[in-house]
Amino acid sequence: MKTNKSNINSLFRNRWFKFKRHKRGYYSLIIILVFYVLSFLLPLLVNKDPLIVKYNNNYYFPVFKYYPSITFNVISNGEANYRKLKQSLNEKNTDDFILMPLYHYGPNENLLEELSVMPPTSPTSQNWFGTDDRGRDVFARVLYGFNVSVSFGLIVTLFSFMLGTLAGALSGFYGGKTDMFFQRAVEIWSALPFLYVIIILSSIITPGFSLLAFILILLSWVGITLYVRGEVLREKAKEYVFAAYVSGSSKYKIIVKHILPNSISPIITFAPFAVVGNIALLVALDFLGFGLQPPTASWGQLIQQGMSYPGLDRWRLIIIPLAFQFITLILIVFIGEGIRDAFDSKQYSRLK
Amino acid sequence: MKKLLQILNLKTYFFTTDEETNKEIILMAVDGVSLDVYENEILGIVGESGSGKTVTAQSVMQLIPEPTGKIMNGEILYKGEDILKKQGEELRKIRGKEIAYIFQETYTSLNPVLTIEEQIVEVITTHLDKSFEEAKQISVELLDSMGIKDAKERIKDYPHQFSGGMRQRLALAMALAANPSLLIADEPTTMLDVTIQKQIMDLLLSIKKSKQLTSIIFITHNLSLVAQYCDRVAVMYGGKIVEVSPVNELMKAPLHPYTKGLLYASAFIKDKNNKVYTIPGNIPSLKEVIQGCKFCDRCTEAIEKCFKDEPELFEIKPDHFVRCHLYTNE
Repeated sequence: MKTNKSNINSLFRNRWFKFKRHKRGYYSLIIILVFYVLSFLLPLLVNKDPLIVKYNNNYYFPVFKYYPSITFNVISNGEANYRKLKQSLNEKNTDDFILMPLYHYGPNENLLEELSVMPPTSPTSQNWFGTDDRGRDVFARVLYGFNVSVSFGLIVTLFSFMLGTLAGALSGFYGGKTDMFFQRAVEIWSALPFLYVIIILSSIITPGFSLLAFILILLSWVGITLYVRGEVLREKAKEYVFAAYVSGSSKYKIIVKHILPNSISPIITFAPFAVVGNIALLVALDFLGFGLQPPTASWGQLIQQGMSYPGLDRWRLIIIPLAFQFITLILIVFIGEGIRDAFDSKQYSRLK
Repeated sequence: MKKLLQILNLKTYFFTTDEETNKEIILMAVDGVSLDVYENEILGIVGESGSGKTVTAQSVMQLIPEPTGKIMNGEILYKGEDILKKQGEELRKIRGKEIAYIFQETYTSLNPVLTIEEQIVEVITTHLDKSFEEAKQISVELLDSMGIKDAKERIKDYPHQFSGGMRQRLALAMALAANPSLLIADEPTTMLDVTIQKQIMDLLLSIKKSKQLTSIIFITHNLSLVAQYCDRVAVMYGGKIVEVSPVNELMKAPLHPYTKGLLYASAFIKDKNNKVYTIPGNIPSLKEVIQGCKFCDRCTEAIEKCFKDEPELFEIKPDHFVRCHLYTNE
């Protein structure tokens, strides 16, 4: 009992319980977490490749391994079309079987052969959200796009916050000339026209996922430094820091163990909103064609395709990814709200 | 008696700009303080706010915030070594291991996000060659000796779960974790109730007897605590020491007019109009350059000479020093 009691009293424990009481934020966190974890299993859930194939008493696992089409006695370029294979196996009525994922289409698979009309096509019972202009399944692309977007938002936020925290902590802790230098550097850096730099860079080097993330991290770490610096400036003048000095702690220990844990709350409070910003930015860049390059599944590209048809004929290409983006972002905003309230010490006022 | 700490002609100045005139000014917070701390004694330092008590103590620990403040001159000899020359690793071995320091603020002197255990263990493992488990064991014993009940359970608590007096005990435990020889207590009782003040002071005395801790520098406004607990007392005014004496002698026969004033004021002696005695005027701003004795314009016994020349600190009786023209033999 007693050990439990002391654990509960930890500051972060307290905040976690406070966060849990914020129902909207708490359930949003659960939903986002579940879907994000599931999205890593998408190749097993939404894919053109079957999980298991039993063919002539041999077992094959096309999800994990590439088999040339000749393995299954089918003539085609590259891999066999497993949906057709499944049909023919069913007709033959042998022991052989194919276990397909829940949804039978992959994000990058070209369905031109199977479609009777020119893509983009309307929703059918096979392709729930229809296909895009290259005959790829929109449902699969939107789901894979969720994983890409959220991963991108998390990675950019994590690393830019780490850089920003480091710079802010050093700047605030050492003060004086170091601070002067850092602050001027931050001012110059933040005066760079963000969008132009990305557009220019990505028109030269056509970035992939990691390169685009890297560029964004380099351009967006400055925002958080100012907050961290302010917190560190405030915390480093407190008595417990002096107490750490006079008990002989090293500067490194004082920064890492004493000052940073006490200045972390604005960082944590901002993080969800920064993730939202970064996801929106990715969609915007993709829409403009300066973001992730095809064939990476991306919401922005789908919207851009939809916009390119006159009279907004293909409005579902716009609405579907936008709806997914909207739901994702609003859930993350709810999480952010919950965290903000949990970290707000003035939740209840004594004066009413 | 052996000297544990010797402060020799210490000058600590602060450099700021005057808000009104926008000129660079020098605040002479500590202006030539010389003071000895003997082994096995409690030395009280008293004086009004702004008299330089705390800055003197912080100079010993090299806690003066640069570049605003700077130790301009002086030596601080600890066991014969000048600790002002030490830096980095060497300085960290003095801090906490040899000289410990506790603060007035009981509410911010402990890190709010770490448990008491984490904070005390950190001090022990930094200075003593102990394993984590041993350090934990020592921390519990230490808290026990500080009079904290259920030390084993309470050590896992966070600072906000303790009351002000308890926190001062915790701060004391943290300061003494590495068995230092000298403790500087900077107004450790100012924020506390009178009853708690007594408990803390008694605790200090008992620790001094039972531990390696040999000497305590006790900084305070509170003359009655000084009278009760200290062996010697130094009175500071305007960044200078005006009187140093064994405590009994100072209480019976104060020499410096400022010391007399302090004693009268704190003894609540009432004058003809039934008012508590106060020293006229205010402590001079550190900005003002005062010719002669710094106390001259508030002094009721000032003579002509006081306004011209600054008196020197001299030994009037064995162990009794005073800085006043009234006692120079001419």
